[in-house]
Amino acid sequence: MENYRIIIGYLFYIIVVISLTIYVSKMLFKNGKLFMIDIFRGKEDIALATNKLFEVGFYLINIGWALLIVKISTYSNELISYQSLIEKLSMKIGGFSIYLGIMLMLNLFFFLRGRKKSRQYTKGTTQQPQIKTT
Amino acid sequence: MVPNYNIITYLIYLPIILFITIKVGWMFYKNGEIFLLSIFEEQNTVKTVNKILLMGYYLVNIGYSLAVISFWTKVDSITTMIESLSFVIGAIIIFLAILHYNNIIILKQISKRKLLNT
Repeated sequence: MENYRIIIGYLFYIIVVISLTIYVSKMLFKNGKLFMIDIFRGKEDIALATNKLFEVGFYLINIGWALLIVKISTYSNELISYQSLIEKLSMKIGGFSIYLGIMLMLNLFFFLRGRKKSRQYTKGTTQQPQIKTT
Repeated sequence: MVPNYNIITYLIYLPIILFITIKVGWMFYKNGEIFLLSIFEEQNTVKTVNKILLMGYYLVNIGYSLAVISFWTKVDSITTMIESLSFVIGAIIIFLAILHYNNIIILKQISKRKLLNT
């Protein structure tokens, strides 16, 4: 019998991490649509397409990174105890969650910055009033 | 058979810390909206920014409180269980308090700068 507890750990880790990533990015880009429409000054089709592309990129980066750090290393071939399995898993999931939070904040920062730039540009070149989307 | 005190401690620790984190985050979410409104001045933007901030707060804090589990000392009796639980939970609460005051100071400075600019 191989180290079956580690396999349980891997399954748990992968399920948790992938569902967390999907949930977070759905949430982020549902809210990000508004910013995108603002950035592209109301051109809805290009804004939604860009939003979708960003969402796919977010998935790729985060799921890729989650799978890279999957390995639980043990120093012996003995069966790992449930206690150390819980400790290792909590470190992995917690670390990944912090990383995801930082990525989320980074994305929010990009949204705000892009919108600011776009508004400055609009003010600078044409003297039209800003497009407000509600 | 001697029960594994460490696992029992984790099972007690997780609900407590999740409750505290979610409660505090929800309070910030409710009461912080008005400050964000004074910065952004648009209802829609404020709502989305607030939601994303709440999400980031949850991810970072719950992640941190999970990661702390892996540095837990060995628990072999009820006494050490109570000591280590109170130490870790207290450390996280103080960390939350520091973050909170930090946020208040930042908000204050942003709104001051905004006031001076207009």
